[in-house]
Amino acid sequence: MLLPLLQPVPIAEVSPGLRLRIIGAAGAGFPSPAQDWADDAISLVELLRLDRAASFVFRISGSSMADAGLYDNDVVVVDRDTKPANGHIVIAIVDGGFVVRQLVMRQGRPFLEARNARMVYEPTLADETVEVWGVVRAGVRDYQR
Amino acid sequence: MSWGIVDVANFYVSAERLFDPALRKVPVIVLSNNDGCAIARSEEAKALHIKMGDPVFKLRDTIRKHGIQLRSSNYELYADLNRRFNEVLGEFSDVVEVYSIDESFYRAPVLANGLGDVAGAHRVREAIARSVGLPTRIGLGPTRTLSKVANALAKATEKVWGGVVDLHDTELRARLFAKWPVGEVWGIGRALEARLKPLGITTTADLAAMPPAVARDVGTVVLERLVRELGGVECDDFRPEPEALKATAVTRQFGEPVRDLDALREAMARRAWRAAEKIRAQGLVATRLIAFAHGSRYRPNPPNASRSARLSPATNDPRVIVGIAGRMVESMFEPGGVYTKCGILLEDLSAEGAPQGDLFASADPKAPELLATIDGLNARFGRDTITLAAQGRGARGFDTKRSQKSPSWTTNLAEIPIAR
Repeated sequence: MLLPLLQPVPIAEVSPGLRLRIIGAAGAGFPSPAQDWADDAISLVELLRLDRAASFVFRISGSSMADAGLYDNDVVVVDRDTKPANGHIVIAIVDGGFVVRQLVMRQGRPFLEARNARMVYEPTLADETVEVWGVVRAGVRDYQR
Repeated sequence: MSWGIVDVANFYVSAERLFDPALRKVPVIVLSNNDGCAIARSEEAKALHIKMGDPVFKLRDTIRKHGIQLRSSNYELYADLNRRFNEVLGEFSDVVEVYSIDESFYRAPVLANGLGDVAGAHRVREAIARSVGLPTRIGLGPTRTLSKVANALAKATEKVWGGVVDLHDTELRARLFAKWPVGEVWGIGRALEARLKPLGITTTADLAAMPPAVARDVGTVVLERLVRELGGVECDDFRPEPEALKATAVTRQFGEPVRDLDALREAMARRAWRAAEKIRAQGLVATRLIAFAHGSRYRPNPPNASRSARLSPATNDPRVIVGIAGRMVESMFEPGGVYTKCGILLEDLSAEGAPQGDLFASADPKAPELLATIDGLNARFGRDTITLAAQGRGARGFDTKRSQKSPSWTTNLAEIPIAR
């Protein structure tokens, strides 16, 4: 029976130590021929480069970044520790709300630009009134939703 | 080595602002359980003379006039951000002691010139601001007590000294202590302050100059240690570590008054479950259970009753504890009574597995395995995934009111922040 997922574990709380590794049985019988090649399981924490302190999770709404491969309802891992740089996809606060945009330097000035050729989005000058909240590191899409 | 203490500026407000840009630069108050009174204020709210503990009903006019934003306590968020800033602190120090939800001590190095690592403290502040988005202040000193005083000074002088104060220098200490009231020192309560005043001890400098033996006579051995620590002598057993639990209580005001037996029984069952969960988390068992329920003392003839029972063998099994608490409610309940609060106390706690010396009592041998499974499921899938039927399910009118609570931005996938 599947249990209802009422309050999932915070994603950053899944420690890298949470990996089951069985190295050979203790009892009689043949030792596993694979024992010498045993390796740690692949860790989603490593794959998504999750940090216990600085990784946060946001949900994308709308299609402002569709041409960059971020779609409505995607979940993104946002890292606050990464210094925002030219070309990064970032979460920023514009006009009192969170937006997802690409940070682009034009003539030495930082702009936040949408990536959707079908719609018109005004680029925002990322001046001191604009706060870059974090850098998008990874996207997660559930194809069965 | 020396000590540092980090505290988050207006923690609950800062936490709310991290995920709600609309709260920045406007006055914000975070409310206690049941939205009763102010327990955290933004600088803008402090400037409007709102005090800690001010009840909301008294603030109605001020709130409306100045457009003050109110939020219920979002403990899920605060606990997660607390965990996060301690993670960052752990990258800077091998010894981190969580002192409260918004303060942690850490071991820091002493520089070659005998002073504290102020530059290192600024790096800690920057790392916490960058990774977790919280503003902090840091006090440094040769002892925890001195670091705590330094932290209080760092708060008061933030604009001048940038949020870090180091009290390793004895001359600086003498200069600042002369102006720092004794009542502001960590561990000096009102009563002690009143006892020190006739002795002419009003500043921190006076207190630090007290001979330790005299301090012991005036106060207790605790005051003696405090005086030694103010002089820079670390007292190893002067630790803010929480003592092992001797008793635990889960008592809560109802969101809406309770009038019928079934609702009161459910409310009590929920508190009893939580209390059992709390002592299990500490590996403890209880030998005494006290349950109480009462009405508002502002109404005529409020119902008021309590019951007590010995638990034998000592237990932390919610099936036993919830069962007894339920029967107690049945014997306490007064028909027609209007109840506003109920609670459970578990007392005489001892370590699980210690011999209990009760020849005639027997515990369910399968209980430890069952309870570990339940606790594991609840830890993994969220609180109250598994409960007893006696607790009922879902939200009830008697649940604690948190009507202005922000989403659990960082701990519940259904409530994560949205970017457009």
